[in-house]
Amino acid sequence: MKKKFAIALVAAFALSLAGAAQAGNPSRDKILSDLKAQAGGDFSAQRGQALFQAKFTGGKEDTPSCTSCHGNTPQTGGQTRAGKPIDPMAVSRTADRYTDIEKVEKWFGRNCNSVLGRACTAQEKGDFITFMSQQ
Amino acid sequence: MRKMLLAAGLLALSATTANAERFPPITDQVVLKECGSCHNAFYPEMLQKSVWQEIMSNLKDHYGEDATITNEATKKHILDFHLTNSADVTNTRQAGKWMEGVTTPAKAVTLAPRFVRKHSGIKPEIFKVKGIDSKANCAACHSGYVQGTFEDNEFTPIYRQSVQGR
Repeated sequence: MKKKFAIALVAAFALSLAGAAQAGNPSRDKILSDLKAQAGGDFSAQRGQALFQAKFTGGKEDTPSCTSCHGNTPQTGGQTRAGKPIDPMAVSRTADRYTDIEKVEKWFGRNCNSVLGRACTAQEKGDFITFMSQQ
Repeated sequence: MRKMLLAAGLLALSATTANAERFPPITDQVVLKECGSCHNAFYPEMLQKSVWQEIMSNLKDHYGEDATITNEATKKHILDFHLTNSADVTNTRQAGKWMEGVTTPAKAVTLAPRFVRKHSGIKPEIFKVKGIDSKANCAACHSGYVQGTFEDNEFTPIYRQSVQGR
């Protein structure tokens, strides 16, 4: 009995740790699971990081990378070309990131076109959000 | 004597405000949110109707960025606000000032004759100072921008530091 209780306690502790690490949020989880249904595969934080840092040539010349406006790391935050501050992309810094589907679609829609010169795929969006959720 | 001084003071004050710019502050929450998330919302009185029409019909290439608004009702609301208050439609003093010297309509606030005249003495490098960053960043130098005022005593510390010794 005592042993069972101890196991349950350890399990509960582990679960709470996992929850904290992923900064779980029902709205964000739903956005990710919908993207996963479209993409068909798993998401990778590593690919998301590569996307965030990559330099592209297909988009508009003033915005070759996400980092052009969003700052060099997910934690720093950035500013628009017209000087308005942008909150950090990392979920640990800006808790409500990627929780409003309209906002997510609006800004991926605009910024993928500005940076990559095309729409982002569900795979890319999922990778990106997965990376930022762990930051 | 005291009364005279006061009267002179009041006269001086009214003379300054008579020359000053004063826009009605933008209170429209849709405009503030949609335009203001990337740049301080510009006053519609600064540009002509035809220019706002052009800007709002080409948001996919908005001064080098994609600023697409997919919600048609939102887009129409923003367009209507700008058309109603544009330089050649509204009959206010500041709209008249922004029409002065306009021959062909300027395609951006920073290209409007009024803007160009008012900033002709500013060295180009001032607009590149970190924290100012862009000619479109009005509030970086004009602390009264959101309230619609552009007084000389309202310049921000970063502006004053930047012009010192240049």
